[in-house]
Amino acid sequence: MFVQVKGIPVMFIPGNAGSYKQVRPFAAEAAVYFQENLSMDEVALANGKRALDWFSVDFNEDITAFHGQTLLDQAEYLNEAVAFILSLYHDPARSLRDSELPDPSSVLLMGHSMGGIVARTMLVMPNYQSNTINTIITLAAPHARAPVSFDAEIVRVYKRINDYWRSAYAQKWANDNPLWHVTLISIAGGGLDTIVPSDYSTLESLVPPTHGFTVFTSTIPHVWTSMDHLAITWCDQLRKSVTKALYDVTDAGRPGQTRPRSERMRAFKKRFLTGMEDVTEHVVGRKGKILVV
Amino acid sequence: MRTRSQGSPVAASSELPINNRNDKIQTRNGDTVASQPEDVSASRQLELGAQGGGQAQQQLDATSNESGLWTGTTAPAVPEAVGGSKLPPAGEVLERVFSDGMDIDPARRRHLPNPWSCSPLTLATTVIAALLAFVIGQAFLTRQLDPKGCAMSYMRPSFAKFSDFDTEHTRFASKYSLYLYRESGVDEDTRVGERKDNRLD
Repeated sequence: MFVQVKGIPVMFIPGNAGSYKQVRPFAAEAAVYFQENLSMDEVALANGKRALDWFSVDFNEDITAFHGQTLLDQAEYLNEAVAFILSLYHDPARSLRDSELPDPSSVLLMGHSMGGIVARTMLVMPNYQSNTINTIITLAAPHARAPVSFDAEIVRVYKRINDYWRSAYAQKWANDNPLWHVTLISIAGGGLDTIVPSDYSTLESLVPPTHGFTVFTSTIPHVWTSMDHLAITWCDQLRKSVTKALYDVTDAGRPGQTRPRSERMRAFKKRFLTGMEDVTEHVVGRKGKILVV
Repeated sequence: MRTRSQGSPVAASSELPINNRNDKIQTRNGDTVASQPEDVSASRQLELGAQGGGQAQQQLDATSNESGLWTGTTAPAVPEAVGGSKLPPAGEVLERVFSDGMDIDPARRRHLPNPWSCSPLTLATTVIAALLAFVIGQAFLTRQLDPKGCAMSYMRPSFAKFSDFDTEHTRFASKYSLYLYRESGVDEDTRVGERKDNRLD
């Protein structure tokens, strides 16, 4: 086998009837961005910046939105794929990574539409190996409720997943929270997305502001535009912002491949929020840096 | 029933043949002379009532069925006529029974809903609803607040399939598969392209 991994693993999960090739825009931008901006930057390399290895899964364009069992099957498969991907980095014959870097113990996830739900389902599955997922970015994913509820099973699966996430973050002590190190960013397309209404993308009832937030593409700096359900996977402005955010939060020098949770949240807020949102206020106040224009 | 009782007590001698009476009815059907036959028909009614014999009684029985139907269904019409200054002559009533057998009486027609009737309110509501639906559709399709501002993205993709992530690793290997993306010309990972199962898209 000649396919060799070399950087930080990121997995793209396509949505309902989606294609594995939808990973192209983000993966291409990440490769170009690394080569042009980071590969020659000694400081960045010393800070653990490495190219992203983008993995994608071909689900044969499965219809996940209509069938709960398919959702669970995909999540089970993905957990096994994560274990397989991590094993690639352990094998010197298949990895080009610097030997002084620790072997990765987790994979970053990006899910489009129902793929975002599958990503969250992975952490609920029995075959999930703890701490193999700590950063999830979802694009136009209907977190709050099932977009189509023809199937009773999918409603049950949704309830199971959302109950798990809510109860995890409701724990008083971080030790009791299996999702303590997990950050989740939900990016919604706004008014142009008529397939998944952006209200469904809210994390308001699922994840506290310390671990994630919802943001509309029309309010992301340098993006400033709404986009429909498919455009969110190829929009040039968005892929640039997301790529920068991903390089901000990754650190190949740590086994988890990402910086600590609070630093990740700060990086995400810097890239995705304007600074005028409620969730950013206390951060600014704490640091005592208030920009007066 | 009432019209019948009006006519029946009157007894007079007559030998009116039935076919003759039918002739009369026919003429009245196509006829425009309305005023003249009142006397005639009245007298005919008397004549009819005067039969008294079994034959006439059969006549009455035969007609009473129809008249019962008629008076029963158009009951409001009769009191109206009674209450009015002019009582319809008994003969005319009877003739109506015979001649209008299957026709709908104009008075009765007023009480039936016309399938094509449309009140101004219904019409106005329909028009407003159609206009609203059009405006909603128009706004949804062409007047979204958000302009489409995404720039197109370009890339030179190549995918490497992990054939060895097989049924030993997962029971879904026959259904799903795993790929690694490489950007052609950027990732100097030439070994990826040498694999037979790697393909450039």
